[in-house]
Amino acid sequence: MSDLANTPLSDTPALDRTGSVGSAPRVRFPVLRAALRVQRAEVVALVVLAVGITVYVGLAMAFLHRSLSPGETLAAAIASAIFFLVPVLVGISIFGPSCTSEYRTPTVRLLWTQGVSRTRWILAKLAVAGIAVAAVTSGLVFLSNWWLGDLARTHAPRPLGVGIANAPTGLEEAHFALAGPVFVAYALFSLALATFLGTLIRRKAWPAIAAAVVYIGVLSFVGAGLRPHYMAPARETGVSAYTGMLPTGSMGVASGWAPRGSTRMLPYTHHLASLEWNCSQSAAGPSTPPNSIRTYFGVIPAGSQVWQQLLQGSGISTHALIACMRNHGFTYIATYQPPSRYWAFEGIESGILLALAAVLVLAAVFRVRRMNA
Amino acid sequence: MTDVLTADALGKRFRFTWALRDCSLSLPAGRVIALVGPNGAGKSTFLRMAAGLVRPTTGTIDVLGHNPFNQSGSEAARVGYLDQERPLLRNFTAEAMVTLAAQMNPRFDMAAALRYLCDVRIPLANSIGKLSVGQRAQVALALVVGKRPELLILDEPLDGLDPLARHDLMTHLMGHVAGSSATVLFSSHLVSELEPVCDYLVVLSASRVQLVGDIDVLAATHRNLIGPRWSGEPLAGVAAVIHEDTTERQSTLVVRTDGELDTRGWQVVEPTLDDIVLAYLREQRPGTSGTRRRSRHDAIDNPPSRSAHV
Repeated sequence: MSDLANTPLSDTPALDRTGSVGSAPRVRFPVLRAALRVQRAEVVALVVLAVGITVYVGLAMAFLHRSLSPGETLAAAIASAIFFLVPVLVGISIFGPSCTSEYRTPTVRLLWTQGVSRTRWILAKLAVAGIAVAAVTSGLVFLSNWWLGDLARTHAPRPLGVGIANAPTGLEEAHFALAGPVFVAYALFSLALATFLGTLIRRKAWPAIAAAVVYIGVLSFVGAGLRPHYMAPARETGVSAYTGMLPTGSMGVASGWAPRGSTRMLPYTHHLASLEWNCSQSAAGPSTPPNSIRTYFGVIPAGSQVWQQLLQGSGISTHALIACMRNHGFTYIATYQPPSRYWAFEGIESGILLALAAVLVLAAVFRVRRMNA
Repeated sequence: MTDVLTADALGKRFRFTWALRDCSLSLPAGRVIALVGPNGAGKSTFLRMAAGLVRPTTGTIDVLGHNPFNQSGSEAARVGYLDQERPLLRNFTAEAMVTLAAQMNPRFDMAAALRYLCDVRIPLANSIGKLSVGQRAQVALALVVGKRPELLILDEPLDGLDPLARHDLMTHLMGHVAGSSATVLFSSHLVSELEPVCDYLVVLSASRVQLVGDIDVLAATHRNLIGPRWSGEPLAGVAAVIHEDTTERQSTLVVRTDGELDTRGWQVVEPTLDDIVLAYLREQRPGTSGTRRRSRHDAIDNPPSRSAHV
């Protein structure tokens, strides 16, 4: 302790105070504490965000959910949008930059010359960020489940245009990413993505912009391209398939006409369309249904689902139509993922996203280990 | 004496320009080593490679027995590095900076660092952004010295400081060095700034090492010779003519000696360290008007620059 022997000793109160600090026993997990300290502002921002969302959803539920007013529809739409933005906010705009902003400033030369290797330092910062993100988004999952469940109980019919599922455990696209553990996985994935891009692009705003673009791409691709195919879909045939009467909370995969006895759906060719038209005519009896129906929303072409629903109203029996097509050798098939697979799907998708996040973290570490400061 | 740092054919290229080229040297432990050279000579690049921040393009560098690039935490803890820009976390207070350094360095002497900052009257509760340049330099130095490293690497530690701050900083640094066996390697583009404290010298210019050696040895083996016009004939006792300044009537030479000088016809003057360094630096520049230049290699049996110890 005599390294500073030349500096005159003074007996200011500060000396006594600092002297006792210096002789304090070493704390546990010093590097994690350091990583937390340098990201303190981001942790505070995250907590403020979470509290804000909780208050908003609480107020919206307390004051608006008694009626399906336009006000509530708007409030629910806003809440829905906020939940979609949370992974982007926490991963890409709060913690991604805090893990990588030092790489574009001289500060990196301070931090990388302490007694912590650069690998350990980025992993410590990611651990702090990851724990904070996982904790807060897990809390928000409970909030969104509560909110969605309450909405479902209050309004058994789905509020049109809001994009929220009826049941708290549905596989509908909008609901799926908001309510389960996959929400946490998306947030962690966005953190890893933003961190990797931050090590790749050592500029101010560009990593976040690139991460947002990639994130939206991955979200859409996983939702539309992968999710329907995690498990072999269940199948429904005949009238219930034709009218789309699948179990509530199901995720439709595909539907169409198939040759009788086969499960391979055929492309909706002109031949099939005219056959369906003829069957619907015969099922409707002598009165000829209109070729197209003009409504307030525009012209509804023959053969579309809305057109079929309108024809049902005009007295055409779907049963008769299906029977007629059956006689011609065709069955209507709809494949779907039943809601009972909700938790399996949440697990599979979370696993995919966490695996991607792990790969991105490894890539970020690889980049950091090769970086010149 | 063991070597604290060894470089072998070390080079660094940034895109199309070489910041440092073909640098081979060994630096002994326990010394205060000055790294001198003009701006852009490659000093910072060399020090950043020594601190493990920059990966060499060619060659190898070995610091305290390991390759510094991607070194482990325990290896990094043995080396203190103060960057030219003295980076600190702007929204931290000085005290928080010290706490952070203590968390990140297992051997950190927090009490000593805080005591020093109190002694030089740094307001510990103010954020770094509110401190003056001199105060920030004090904080940055306290953090590096507080690590109690075996090797202290300081890149232009006195640059941009007022005389009082320079004095404080140097006093602190030398007080630390005196009480430990640490090696100090620091850079400057001013020799006079380092001369009072250093005992070993590395001259870097035009991306290459020009001179390496113990300052006492350098002083003993270099002489200024002033005499009549010299036309390049060999001089007894002269190993190399480092720099030649010839006018119509007289020549002024800076020479490296390797034995008893034949002083007939020459006036011999002991050069200052500044003179020696300038002689080596001038040789690297293309000729300026009024003087005739001769490469020191003309009269040299072995060039001194590449060998470790002169």
